[in-house]
Amino acid sequence: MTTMLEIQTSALKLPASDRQRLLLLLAESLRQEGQKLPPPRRFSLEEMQGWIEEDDASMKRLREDGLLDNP
Amino acid sequence: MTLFLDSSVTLAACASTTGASRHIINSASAAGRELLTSEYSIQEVRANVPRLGTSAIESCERILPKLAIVPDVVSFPWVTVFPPAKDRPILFTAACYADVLVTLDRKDFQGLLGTRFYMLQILTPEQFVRLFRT
Repeated sequence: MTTMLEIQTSALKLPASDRQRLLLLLAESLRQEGQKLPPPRRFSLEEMQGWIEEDDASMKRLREDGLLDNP
Repeated sequence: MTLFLDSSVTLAACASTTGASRHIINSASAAGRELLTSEYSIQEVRANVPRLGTSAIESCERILPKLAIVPDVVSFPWVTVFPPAKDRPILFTAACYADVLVTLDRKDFQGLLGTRFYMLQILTPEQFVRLFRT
């Protein structure tokens, strides 16, 4: 699939949600030139430890609720 | 189904083998799910993981190759009510490429946006497992 007609024909066969996503992707590709990414976020150690504790507690809850097998 | 992992989830998975984030990564292949990240998110992970210790750094090198890298998206063509912030590239990239943004960062994402941003679902790892039973 290399010609514009082939791509257009295939794109029109996609479900609506995929066509919306494709539209966003194309719009973004036209806008992106010249735009810069911000520097990466620096998280505090406390914030990261909070995520890790929450993540481990989540797993425990999921097992207690029978949604996952115990290890 | 395609999942974009926020840096918070990747960092938690690097630091803990017993959390829901690591579970989502480990079970993705068997569940037929694609895991996505971006260069921006990888930069965040690499910038922050050293403070989580040597083990987390080593895990990071094993986890990152499991994630497909998509191009960063820095602007969005539709109206957003998301305030200008450094985490916009994560949200916008996820919205363009994924079905679900998985994040532990409630303050920056769910607190401001609820659980949906246009077609994109925004879920914590626990919410994702509860919804999709992986």
